[in-house]
Amino acid sequence: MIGKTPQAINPLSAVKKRTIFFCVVLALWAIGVEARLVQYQIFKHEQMANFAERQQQRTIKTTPKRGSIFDRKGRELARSLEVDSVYVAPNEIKDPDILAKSLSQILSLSEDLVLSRLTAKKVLVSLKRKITDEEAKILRSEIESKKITGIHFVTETKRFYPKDEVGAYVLGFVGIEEDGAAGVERQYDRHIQGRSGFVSVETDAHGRPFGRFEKQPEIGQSLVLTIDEQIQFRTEKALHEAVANVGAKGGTAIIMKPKTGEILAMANLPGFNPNLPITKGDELKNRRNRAVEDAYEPGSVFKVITYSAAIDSGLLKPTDQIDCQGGAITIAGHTIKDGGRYGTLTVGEAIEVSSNVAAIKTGRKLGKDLLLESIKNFGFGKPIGAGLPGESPGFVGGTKNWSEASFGALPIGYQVGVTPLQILAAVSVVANNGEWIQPHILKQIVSTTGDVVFQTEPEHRRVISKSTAEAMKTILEGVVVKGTAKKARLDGYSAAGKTGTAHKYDPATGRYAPTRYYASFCGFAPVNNPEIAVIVVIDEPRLGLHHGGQAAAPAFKQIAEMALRTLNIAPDEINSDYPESDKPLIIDEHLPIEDDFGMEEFNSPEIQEILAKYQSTNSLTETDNQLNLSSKNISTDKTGKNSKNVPELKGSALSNRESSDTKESRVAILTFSEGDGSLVMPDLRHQGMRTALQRCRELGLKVTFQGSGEVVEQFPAPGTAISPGAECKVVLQKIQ
Amino acid sequence: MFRLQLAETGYGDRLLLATTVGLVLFGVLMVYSASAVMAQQEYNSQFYFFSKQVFAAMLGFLSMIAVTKIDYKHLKNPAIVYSLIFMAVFFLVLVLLLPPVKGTHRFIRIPGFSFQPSELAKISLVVFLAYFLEKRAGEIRDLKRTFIPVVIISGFLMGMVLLGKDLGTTLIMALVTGVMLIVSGIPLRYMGVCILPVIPLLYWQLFHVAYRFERLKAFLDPWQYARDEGFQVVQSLIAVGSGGVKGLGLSQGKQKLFYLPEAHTDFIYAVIGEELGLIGSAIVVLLFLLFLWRGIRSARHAPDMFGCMLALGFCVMIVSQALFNMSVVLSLVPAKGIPLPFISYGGTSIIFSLIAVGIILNVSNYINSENS
Repeated sequence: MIGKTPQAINPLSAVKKRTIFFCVVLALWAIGVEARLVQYQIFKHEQMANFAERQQQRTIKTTPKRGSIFDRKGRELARSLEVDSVYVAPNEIKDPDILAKSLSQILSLSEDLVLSRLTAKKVLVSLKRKITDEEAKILRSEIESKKITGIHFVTETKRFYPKDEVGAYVLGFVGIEEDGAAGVERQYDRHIQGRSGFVSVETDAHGRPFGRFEKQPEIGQSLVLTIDEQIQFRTEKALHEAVANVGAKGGTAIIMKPKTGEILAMANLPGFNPNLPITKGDELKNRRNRAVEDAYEPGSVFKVITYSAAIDSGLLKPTDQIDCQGGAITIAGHTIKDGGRYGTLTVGEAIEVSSNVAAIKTGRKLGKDLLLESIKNFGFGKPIGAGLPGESPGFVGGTKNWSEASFGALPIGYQVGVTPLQILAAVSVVANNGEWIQPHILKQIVSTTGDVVFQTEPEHRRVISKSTAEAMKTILEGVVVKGTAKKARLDGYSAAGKTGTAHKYDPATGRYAPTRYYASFCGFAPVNNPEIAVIVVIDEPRLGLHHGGQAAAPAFKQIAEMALRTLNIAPDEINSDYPESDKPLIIDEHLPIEDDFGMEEFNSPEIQEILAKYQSTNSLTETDNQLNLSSKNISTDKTGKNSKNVPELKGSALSNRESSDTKESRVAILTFSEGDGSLVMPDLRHQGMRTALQRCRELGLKVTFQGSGEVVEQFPAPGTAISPGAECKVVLQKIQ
Repeated sequence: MFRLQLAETGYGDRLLLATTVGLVLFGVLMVYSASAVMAQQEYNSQFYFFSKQVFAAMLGFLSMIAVTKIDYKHLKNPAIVYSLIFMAVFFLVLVLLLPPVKGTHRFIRIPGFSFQPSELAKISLVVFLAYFLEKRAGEIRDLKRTFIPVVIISGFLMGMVLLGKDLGTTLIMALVTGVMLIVSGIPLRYMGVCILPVIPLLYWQLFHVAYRFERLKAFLDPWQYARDEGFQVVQSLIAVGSGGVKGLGLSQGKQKLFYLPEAHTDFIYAVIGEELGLIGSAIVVLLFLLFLWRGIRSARHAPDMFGCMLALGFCVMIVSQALFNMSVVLSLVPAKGIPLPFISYGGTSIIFSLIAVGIILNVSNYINSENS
């Protein structure tokens, strides 16, 4: 408008035009500012917020309490306790030299160390973490009496394993920061560790607090294992004896339920106490759970897989005969021999004597592909996923570079690396009608409110047909009855299994060590309705006792009998063809009934109530009652028959605990003495030899049997007062 | 006719007025938020700075209204122009003679009140330049009659401000002078000649005055010097960055708790960034852009050179100072103490800024009259 008038040429319009230029310059500057805002408030926001938080907040992490670990029956195997840790505020310390002396004594630390901490140039310094209650008590009274300043206590948690070594390899242990270092402690760490809380103080630039947030740590979830602590303890004890008996370096034993895959016990020797901290590096190595972490060559046990596969494929019939060629066979230039110069044997016989020739010929019949496939089907070459850390997958030789020589190795359990648990799972296939079921250690995870948040659902798959499994059962029973594993024969229960004796591979020489062996036995019982499957591996038994049948089979027997009885499995046979059965059988061994676990079960309020009732009806004094309430005075009877002078308790507490293991209704009997720990003779009449023997053993009695069948007479008579260790005699007769 | 015009439009450009009022009210709020904790601690009243700022803002608004009512053309009077310059120089000399406050000669303190002569100097400079450049409009390219007197007088004012160790204000004054001279049509080469001697001076200042070199390094990589030279900038960036898009919420900022120095004055924009996030701080920039648009519009519609120059000078002065302040907060330029117009705490700043707005508003009154 102005521009069109003559005045437009005047300087003013030019001036006004030039204003636009600076307007644009300033606008561009503003855009630059906006861009910078976007850069810092969007792209660098997180980083800046972190910086801000770091300088504005002082956060102290509070450690959570780990969840407990229970066995299948709710016995606590691991728990966390609150303990004190000692911290020092050097600024508040008055006489460091004198204080260092007394502190070093109380906390058993070196004086120099204490002095250096007391004079450290820090606000707060740790002196000793997780001290004992005793130390804390002394220290507190010392502080109080001498009015010491500058010593502070911080509550932390400490893992405690009430049963020390029992189940140590399964449980594992924790580090100083309460982090799971091994076993289920490590495998399920994120479930049981809980969530750490924090105390966060917001401060201004001068360090003055103006805000405070606190988050309580959350207690971790609890684990319920498939382990039965009682069976675990007894397995460890039995394994210990077995290893000592044959002068071995160590050993492994695992018990599982072949139908469900639940591992009832898993033991390794030498053991360790998870309550003790690791002080040397090699101790960590010694805490490896060899049952799942170390692969070994199984030897003859592996023939179970070879024959199962051959029968299942139809290439071999259980009734077939195999020519053992006088006990030697040459494969790819190597001659492999048998223990004897066998001629033609049936399949059953070949397994009973553990003929290598027959197994190799069977393997050849299967051929490379079928053999390798079967081995994989049985679960070898990959980790089981049992819920334990560091599982070895093992290896199957010949998968990549097969050679003819592999036929001389794989069928008899060489050139394969397996873990004891893999073998157990494979043999359990036979026990479980041909289905492989995943062995597992964790039953469930329970939240702090008691809800089950996780329940293990084991994988399972069919590996061989039911009929193959039946045929193999019969054959493997033969191994126990008349084959290499006669020492695995059980009292009162049928059993089946296979021995293994394998040379140890010496990594130093690259050859098999001629005098060092793994002796093993893997089997199950009772044969027709297997309740347990057990593997025992003995590491380097003394030469001469190094066969699986010598070193491992007796341990199997001890462990299997113990486990079956603890589980209250009804005996399925009275072995009348036992050579000993007609002769008097002296039982003088004390079964681990006097272990300290019996007590715990009877400490529950229900039991106390039952005891109180009993006490009133029998007018026993309280002291009597309590003094005599020891485990050996208490036994269970599953026949339901009892004499009148023995109190009868339809004990809910007692039988419910075991009710999952047996369908039979049972009655608990408490047998009390009158005075100095002596016992009352139970009524054994009308009971089988198995039960009678068990009852007597539980009471710690030595018993002599005569005849077979059902108890018709007993000495002393029922109800008679007897002492522990007393001898008694039982007469049995077959009753039609 | 002129008086009638005044009565009709009242306070001039309404958008400009609204923007100004909005920024001042927002500023008062932010001063409270940024200073409450510190005021409580240091002066035992969380409203210490807030109430002083409210008082100053009210005084500022009254001054602004008064100025709006007086025709800017009355300023086109050598007596007024030179007495303004004289007053500015008088106070600038006085402040140099008084004992320094926090190491600088910026404030004249009378109990309960303080006065910053550099604010008066800025206003006086713009009024002088507008007056002088209009007077010399015909001979604008005349070196002796126009350029040299302008450079001497404005250079003298700037020198006095620089002596008070107020480099930030000096730079703004130089920038406004430059813009006004260029827009008025002074040949660029004169400006170039003027800038040439400054270059070695700048070089010497930067690389041979030890603390300035350290500051330059701290500016280039503040995180490296986060504990000393870069502290202020780092704290400022942390504040702005931690605000994110939405901010922590009004008064929820934490950086003002003695982490961020000068939180209620020169670094108030960092508090805005922290508490109101990208949304709040971007809006502040947009408000200043709005102010720029309306201010320049007023200049372009001014009836005479004097009005145009006044509106341009004050508008550029306020907007460039705002952008400069934000750039310092965001570490786009090296740290210089300079308040954010309308928002930062400081009575003299807010009063003189509002007087400047009053003059622009008065100029903007002519927008309609010129159209008719």
